[in-house]
Amino acid sequence: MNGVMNGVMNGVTEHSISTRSLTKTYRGAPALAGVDLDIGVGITGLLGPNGAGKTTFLRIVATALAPSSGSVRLMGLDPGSADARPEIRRRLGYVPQELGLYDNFTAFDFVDYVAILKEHTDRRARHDEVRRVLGEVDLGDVRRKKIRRLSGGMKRRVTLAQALLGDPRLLVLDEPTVGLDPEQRLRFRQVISRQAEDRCVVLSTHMTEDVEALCDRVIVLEQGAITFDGAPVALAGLAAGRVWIDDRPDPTAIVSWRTGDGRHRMVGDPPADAELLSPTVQDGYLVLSGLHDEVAA
Amino acid sequence: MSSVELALGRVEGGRLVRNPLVWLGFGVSALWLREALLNDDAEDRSAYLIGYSLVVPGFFMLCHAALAVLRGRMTGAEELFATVPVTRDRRTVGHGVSTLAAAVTVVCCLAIALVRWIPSWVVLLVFPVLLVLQFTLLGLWYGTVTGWFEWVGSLPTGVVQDGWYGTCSDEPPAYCDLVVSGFERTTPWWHAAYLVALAVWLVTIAVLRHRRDRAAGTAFGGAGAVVVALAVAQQLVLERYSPMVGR
Repeated sequence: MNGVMNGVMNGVTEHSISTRSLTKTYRGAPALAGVDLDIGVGITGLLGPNGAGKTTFLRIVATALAPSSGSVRLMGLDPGSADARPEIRRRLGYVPQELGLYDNFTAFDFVDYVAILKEHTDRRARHDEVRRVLGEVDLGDVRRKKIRRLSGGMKRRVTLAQALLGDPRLLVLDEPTVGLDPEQRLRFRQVISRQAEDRCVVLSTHMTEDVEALCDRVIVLEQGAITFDGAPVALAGLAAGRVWIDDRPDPTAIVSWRTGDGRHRMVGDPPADAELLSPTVQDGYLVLSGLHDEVAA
Repeated sequence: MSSVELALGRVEGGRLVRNPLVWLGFGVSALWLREALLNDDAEDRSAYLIGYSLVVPGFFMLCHAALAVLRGRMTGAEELFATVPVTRDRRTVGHGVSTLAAAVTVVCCLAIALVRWIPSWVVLLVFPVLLVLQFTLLGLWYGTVTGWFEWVGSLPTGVVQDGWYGTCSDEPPAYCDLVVSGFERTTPWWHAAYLVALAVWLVTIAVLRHRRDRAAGTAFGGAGAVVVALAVAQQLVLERYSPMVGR
């Protein structure tokens, strides 16, 4: 590897991910339509409905998928180049949407196997690294248990552990909190926030609470295009003055639901005398989706 | 081959060695051979020694190798493995290396056999290794559990008798194809070379699946030519075999 490449790879560049006019089509159907993004250090959340292009974007960023057109730079390198791709992958951690674990391996053996595939060949050093990452996700005590005997949350953490191997500069997490109970989600947030201090973390999720709690930045994708890019508080701000509560549901609201105290929380255009509430990221997302739908209609 | 492939081979080989079914298979094989060696009837003895005894452990090894090769696809782990620096080609080599421990054992047995002039049936121990290697590579190539049968299914049915090896007719008078004369008390080198060349050719097929450049194409063509040449060579030296009366 040349010196220039070393210079780029040894630290996080200003933009760990940089895409220009990124498109991906599946049999003519666009999954991504000209995405321009620069993502740096910190936690960036991707929100969007199913089929919005989140997983496609993450798979391209994880070098598992090639774009149809446009350019991608990861940590300053071009993943389309066969020479650069291994270098990127050495500095990349990926948690796919499907776990893909080997059930008859122990947690230790599976992470060890992935460590070999990440070119950790010195046995002693590799085993130390495997113990370290399993400790990071609080699985040190169960590392000798077969994966099939672990709970769903533990399995999620095994996939996270393998992603942390080698102290990657770029972490790509596709719906990492699916299936986790509240306590496990809190633990997960703790681990991720620890990791994100000096590296780039990109995660896709349907959990707006995770975005609110974790992310410095949120990007909303709809039909392969970016419809929002900013801070979570700014996304929540889209719903300022548009969230209210009443004893009866309002049919003109974008969405309304009955709360635990029997009243109805609504998002949309409130009546003049409405009792307004502070908006959340979820409210902002709903407003954005509603606006997007109106524009599309 | 780099340390990555060796590390993969060590891990996969370790899992193979820890598989109790493989050892159960070798236990059955040992009992079978013991029975064969105690049998005075030459024909029965040869029947026992023709490698059938290796079918059981060989079968379990094949199953193990099949699952090892296919588990990435079966569990959906390929998406994750597509994002690591070690490519599928190198994993293929790692699976092949996993049979190295068995191969070393075979080479040792062969060396002892040659030194001590033990009849050449010992060389048949190489077959499980080759079968596992071929199955591994073919499993990767075909992506199915059954695709390899037509390629390797006939190998364990070979016969060794009085230092001869071949696929033999059950009907009297027994005769063998693929027999190499002049090696009655040593190993059937031509056939062993043919099997090795076949294994190399299968490696090139597996590599071609992921890498299609001039070097891979040349290796494929060259290995294929060697396989054909050795197959022809076996036919040229073919000699009908009739068991000696009274043995």
